[in-house]
Amino acid sequence: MLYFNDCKVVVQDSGVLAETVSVDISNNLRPIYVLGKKGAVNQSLFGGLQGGFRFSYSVEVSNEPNFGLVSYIKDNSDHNASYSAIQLSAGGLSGSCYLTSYDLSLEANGNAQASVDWGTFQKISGDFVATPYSLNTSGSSGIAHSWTTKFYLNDIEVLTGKIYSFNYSFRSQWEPFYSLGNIAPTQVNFGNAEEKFSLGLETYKAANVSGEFIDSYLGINKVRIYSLADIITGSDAYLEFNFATGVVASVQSSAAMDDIMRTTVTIQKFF
Amino acid sequence: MPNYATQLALGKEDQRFFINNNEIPGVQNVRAEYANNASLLKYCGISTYKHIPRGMQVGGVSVSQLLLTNDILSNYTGNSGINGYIVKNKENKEYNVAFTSGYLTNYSCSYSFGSLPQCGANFIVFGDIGNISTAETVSDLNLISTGHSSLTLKIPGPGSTTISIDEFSNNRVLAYDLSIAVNRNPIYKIGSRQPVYVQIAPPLEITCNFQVEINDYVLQSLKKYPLQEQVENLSLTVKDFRTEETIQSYVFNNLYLAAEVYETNINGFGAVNVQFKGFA
Repeated sequence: MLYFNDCKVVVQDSGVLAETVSVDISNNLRPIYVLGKKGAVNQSLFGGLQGGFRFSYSVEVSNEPNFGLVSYIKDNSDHNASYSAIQLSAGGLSGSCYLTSYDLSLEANGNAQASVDWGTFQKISGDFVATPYSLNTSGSSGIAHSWTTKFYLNDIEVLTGKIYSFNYSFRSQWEPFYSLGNIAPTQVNFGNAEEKFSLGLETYKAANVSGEFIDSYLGINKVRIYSLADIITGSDAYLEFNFATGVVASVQSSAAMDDIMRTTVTIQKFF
Repeated sequence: MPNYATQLALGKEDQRFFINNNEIPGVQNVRAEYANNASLLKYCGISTYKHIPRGMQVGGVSVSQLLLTNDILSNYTGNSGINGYIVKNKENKEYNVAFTSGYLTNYSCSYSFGSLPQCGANFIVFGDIGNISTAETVSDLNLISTGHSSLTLKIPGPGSTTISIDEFSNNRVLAYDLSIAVNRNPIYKIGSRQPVYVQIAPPLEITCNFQVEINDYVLQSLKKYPLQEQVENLSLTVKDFRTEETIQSYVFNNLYLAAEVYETNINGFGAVNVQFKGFA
C-alpha cells in the first residue's frame, strides 16, 4: 500500500507540489473477425501504446520544469530542433513522455495552480515505491502568487487598469513514427502547438473581426508572476507569459448575482 | 516582588475608542480580531510542511454603545469605510489597536423596559488591524490628539419612545430590537492584497422584533401569507425624557410580518414576540 505522502511526482529530476496525479497506459486493441466464424477469433494490436502522466500542482517560480519545456518548444518551433522524451515518475512508476498540454490559472488572493498532461508511446515501468518529497522550506516562499503578479507593456509595468483573473493554456501535437519489429516509436516529431491567454477585466471593448493585436487592444502584453518572497525581499525571480503579437480571439462578458460585470478576453497564438 | 503602585493592567479609564477622528461615547465593549489566511500546502510526497496565504485577509470588529447621545454607528450603513482606533489617551500615538478600511456589516439597536437603549455594530476589516502605523493612521491620530471630545448627554426614557404600529397601541410593548444587515462584497484584482471595490450587495435587510404583553392584540396566522399579508410602515422614535429632543429616529416602510411567537405560563402574562422584516 502506498499512501499519498510517499508518492513524489518528478519531472526530469525536479519534484513538483502535485495535489493529484494519474498514470495510465493502454493498448490499441481491436477484435479480429473472419468469414465462417460468428464471433471474434482473436484480438490484436492496431497501433502503438498510448498513455501518460497527468497531474495538477501548485506552481513554484524557481522550480517550474513544465513551463520551462513549454518555453523551449515555443522558442524552437520553427527550427529543426530535436526533442527528447522527458523522464517522469510518480510513486515509483516512470515513463518517457512528451508534453501535450499545460494549463495555468491565477485568481485574486490565490496561488498559481497548473495542470499538465504528458503523453507517452512506451510502456510505464516500475512499481509502487515510497518516494517522499523533501521540500526546501527554509527562507521565504517560492510559491507563485497573485499578490506578486504584475502586468507589462513590453518591459514597462502597467500600473493602471484592473485584471481580475489570468488563465493560460498550451497544447502541442506529437507524431510518433513506428517501424515493424519495434513496439516503441523509432522517432517522435513535434507537429504544431497553440497557446491561449485569457484575462478577466471589468470593462468591455469590442474586438475587430479581422483580428486585433493585443498590444494595441489592451495596452498589456506580458504577465510576470513573482514569488511570494518578492513581498519581503524584492526577489526578481519570475515566470513570464508573453503574448505580444497575439491576436484577440474572443471577447465575452457576463454578470452574476452580487458580482461586477466581467469581460474575458482570449488571446491566441499558433506555432 | 511586583510593585503594585505601578499599573500592571489596562483599566477602562485608559481605553478610548475613535472612529476616524471622532470619539464614540458610551462604549461598553469593543472587540477587534483577526486570523491570518495561512493554509497548509499539501502535496503528494509531503514530508516537510509549509503554509502559504490563500483567500482574503480580513479582520473583524464589534462595538456596543449605550445610546446616551446621538446614534453615530447607524451612519455607517452606506458605502464608505472607516478607520478605528483604541488609544490609551489622545496624546499617546504609540499604544493603540487600530484598523483601517472597516465596513459595517450589521447594525443593531435594542431597548427594553428597565434598561438603557444599546446600539451595536459589526465591521469587517479589509485593510489592516492590530498595532499598525501608516501615513493614514498617523494622520488620524494627529487629528485625535488635537481634537476636542464633548458629550451632550441625552437620557432616553420608556415614556418618551414612540412606535407607530397601531396594533400595539392598547398593549404593553416591553422591548424592541432592530437590526440592519449590510452584505458587503469585496472585489479583488490580481496584484493586490486589498479589494479594489467594496460593494454593498443589495438589499439591506431589516429585522424588527417587538416583545408585547397582550391586552387586545390579535395574532395573524401562518396561512395568511401571502394572500393576506400584513404590511406596516414603522416609525420608531427615542427621545430625551426631559427635553423631548429626538435621540434616534428610525423610519422603515413596507415591513412585512415575518413571525409571531406566543407564550404564556404560570409566572406572568400572555406575551407575543412579533417580528417584522423588510428591505432597503
